[in-house]
Amino acid sequence: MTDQTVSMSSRLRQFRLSDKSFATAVSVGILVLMVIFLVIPAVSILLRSFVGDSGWGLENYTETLNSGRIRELVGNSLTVSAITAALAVSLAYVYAYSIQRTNVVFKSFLRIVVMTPLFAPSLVQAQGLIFLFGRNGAFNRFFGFDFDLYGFWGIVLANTLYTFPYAFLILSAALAAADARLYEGAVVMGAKPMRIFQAITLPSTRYGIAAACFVSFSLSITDFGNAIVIGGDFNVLATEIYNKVIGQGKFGLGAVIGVLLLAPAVISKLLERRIARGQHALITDGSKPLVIGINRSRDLAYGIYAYVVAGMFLAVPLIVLLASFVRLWPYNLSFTLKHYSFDVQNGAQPLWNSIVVALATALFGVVLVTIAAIVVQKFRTPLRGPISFLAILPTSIPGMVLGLGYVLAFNNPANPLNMLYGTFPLIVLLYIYYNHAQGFLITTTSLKQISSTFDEASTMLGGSQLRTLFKVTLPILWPTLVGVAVFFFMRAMVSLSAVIFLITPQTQVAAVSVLQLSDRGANNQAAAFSVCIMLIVLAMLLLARSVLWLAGAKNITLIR
Amino acid sequence: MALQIENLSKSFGSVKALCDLTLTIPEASFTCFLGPSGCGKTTFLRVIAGLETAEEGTIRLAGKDMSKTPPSDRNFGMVFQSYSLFPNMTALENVLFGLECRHWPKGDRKKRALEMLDIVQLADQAEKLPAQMSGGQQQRVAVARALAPRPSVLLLDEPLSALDANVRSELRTEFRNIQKELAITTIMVTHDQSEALEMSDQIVVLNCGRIEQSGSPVEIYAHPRNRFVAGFIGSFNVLEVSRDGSGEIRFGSQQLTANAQADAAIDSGVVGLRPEAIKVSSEPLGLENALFGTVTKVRYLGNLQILSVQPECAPDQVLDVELHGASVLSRPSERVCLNFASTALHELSR
Repeated sequence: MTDQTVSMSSRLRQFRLSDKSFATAVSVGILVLMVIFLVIPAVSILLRSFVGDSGWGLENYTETLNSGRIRELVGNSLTVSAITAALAVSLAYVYAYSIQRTNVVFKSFLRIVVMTPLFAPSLVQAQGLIFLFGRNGAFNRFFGFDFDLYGFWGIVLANTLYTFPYAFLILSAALAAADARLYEGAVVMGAKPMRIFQAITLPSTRYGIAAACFVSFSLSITDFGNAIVIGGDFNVLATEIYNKVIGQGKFGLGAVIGVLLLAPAVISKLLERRIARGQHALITDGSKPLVIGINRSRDLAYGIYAYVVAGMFLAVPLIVLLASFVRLWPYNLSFTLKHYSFDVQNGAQPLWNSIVVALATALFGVVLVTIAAIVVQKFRTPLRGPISFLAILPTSIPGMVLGLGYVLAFNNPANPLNMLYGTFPLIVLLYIYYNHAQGFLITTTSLKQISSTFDEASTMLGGSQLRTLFKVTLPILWPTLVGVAVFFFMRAMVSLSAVIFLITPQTQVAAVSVLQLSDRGANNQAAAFSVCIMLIVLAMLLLARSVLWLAGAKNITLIR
Repeated sequence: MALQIENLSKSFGSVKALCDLTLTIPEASFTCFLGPSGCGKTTFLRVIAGLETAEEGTIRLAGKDMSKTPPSDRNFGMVFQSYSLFPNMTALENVLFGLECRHWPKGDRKKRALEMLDIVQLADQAEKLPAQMSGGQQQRVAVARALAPRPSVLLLDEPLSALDANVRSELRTEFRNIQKELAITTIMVTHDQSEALEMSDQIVVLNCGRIEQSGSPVEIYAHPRNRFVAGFIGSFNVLEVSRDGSGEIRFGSQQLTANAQADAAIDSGVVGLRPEAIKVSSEPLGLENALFGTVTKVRYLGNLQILSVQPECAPDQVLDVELHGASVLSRPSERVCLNFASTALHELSR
């Protein structure tokens, strides 16, 4: 071997050594961030729940659990969430069935319309329902009804609308995966449609149904916005944390309820994941896609159903839009733009804050989840196990609980990062780590689809890990990363419950403004704020879609 | 450069993937690792590449121990079954990648890359992305990419398996020509015996992580060492035989004549007989061995008929016979005479 090749190979060895220490350094960095912004807040809330007026102990638990009120709250939360899940999943199933298994017209329109709740804070559902069916809502006022929406059914309806898109996405995927051979077999054997549905369709979608139920249930039990706006005197666990912490300053009691809220969320999340795992084996290699037969009466029936449901989903944002343009809903319906002048509170500042925060969340969120996914998938360091565990941990922590954890952890002079408290960076970090699991999973799934032989091919050609990453992996991955960025942006624009404890007058964000305005009865201004949030989210979606379209990446899912 | 592999062993958990493999790959030769799926051939190749590490054994390149050298420093070229061209790069950029990694002088890179694309006859496709090329073209680019940095060894992991039959046979010839032209030591993994027979200087038959036999295609085909090799390369009739009191070989009730070498070695109870070595007639043709039997099944494959014949001397066994170019179709229950020379019988260790 010549001197030149010897020196070259020793240089390569050196490079890879630095490659390895680079991998270790990055892994450690990402793990430390997870510990600081995920583990410590979660642990803080657990610890704080054991600190009562007289020091350490079970005082908070005994006080909370011995009160009759807590039993009522737990009962309320469970009932509301169970009924919401049942309603949302049944409605979404038939809706998804209409789209996947019948020839209703304008399917993409129907698909988009039911996604609108994802473009706005959850409480916009409650807001819209109040405009429609509230004491002074359109129906009571113009049609002479006498609904009283506030309370149990208000929350159920609002949460049904809010969790419907999540259930729909799951069920739609489940119904899309059909093997025509089974259906052809059944028809040949003379089975009637109802029998076929019971024997094939229902069993093959049961995992989807169960997963959708769990998702809807856990979203509903941890949602705060709808319950506080439309709940009236009807209290649930999520509003109780708010009352205890913001109303009474009792952090210990709030922490106990947070721990209580964590339990059903964790359980339903675990069950959902277990069930989701069972779904994969359903479609096998030789599956043939289902061709939908012609059946006019069926299409008409499902069409009517789908458009009625779609009408509900359109009615909510439309009534909010309408309310934002009238002087005083429903008494003075003359047109005005004054609600958009935002002459209250901090003016339009919260909107700008939200945009900046959402952009920062998108940017740093993508960077952090991508690094985490690469560390887990590509770097063979011993830290990948703990990192992959922590990366998907947030999926089971309700936003309010994590938010309260941030207050407890960072509003503490003993914490060296105390200076972050009350700043936008901490809100950005909260949004990132609150949504970390989904972002991480999307990225990981995409990374896994990039064949590992690319890495091997690069290695054999003498490429370092870093070179492979920047020259091969990231250039292939970027459309997915745009999708992840949009996801982070949307969540940061609309999440309310996670930041409700963390905002200060200086760090107000738009979703919280909607809550505070509607709390104060300034419903029309609240509507204007909601409209702005929805428009910003829509604009972002359109922008991302056009960028991806121009780059030729057309199969990226933006709405999740 | 020649490769010496000594006592190589590798396990995945409790599964022994490679057991004590020792092998020499001569310089500038084309060697095929042949075997059924799961036999360890790909693992063997990946250990040589350095993508997997062996627990024991050494790999020497021109006498120098490479066992501890990381894969990126071995300077081996590798081509994968799935092409594995970087989808975000053009054909040219793919070929340039290795030259950049290996720090070739900037001025020489493009010239070398185009030269390599020219060798695989794709100079006019240099600016195309992998998705715009056919499978065969992609695999050619992959070969150009692997060869560009002048690797000391070229490793091919089932490079033709994903291609259509006609492209496959075209590339067999082309790859072999390039290999001869560049005189590069090459190892190819395949499960396709005809590919191995056509392309190789040396075939290494692997089974269950062990080398069953290695040798030239002619040696492997004509003198399979054991039943596995015999059955895996081409087809073989396995005759259950015994020795009678006078030491003659008996197949059921009839005596068989083998040549001296095979006769000396047959003691295991089985002999091998290639189907194409049997001549079918109505009366004995005067070869050393002739047995009568009844046709039980006829498979018609166009240029070929395969007859299953139940010999009268050993009715519990069935012999397959290949008839090439016969215009008359044989019929079941027809009585035929099977003739074969003494040299057609091979000893087979079980």
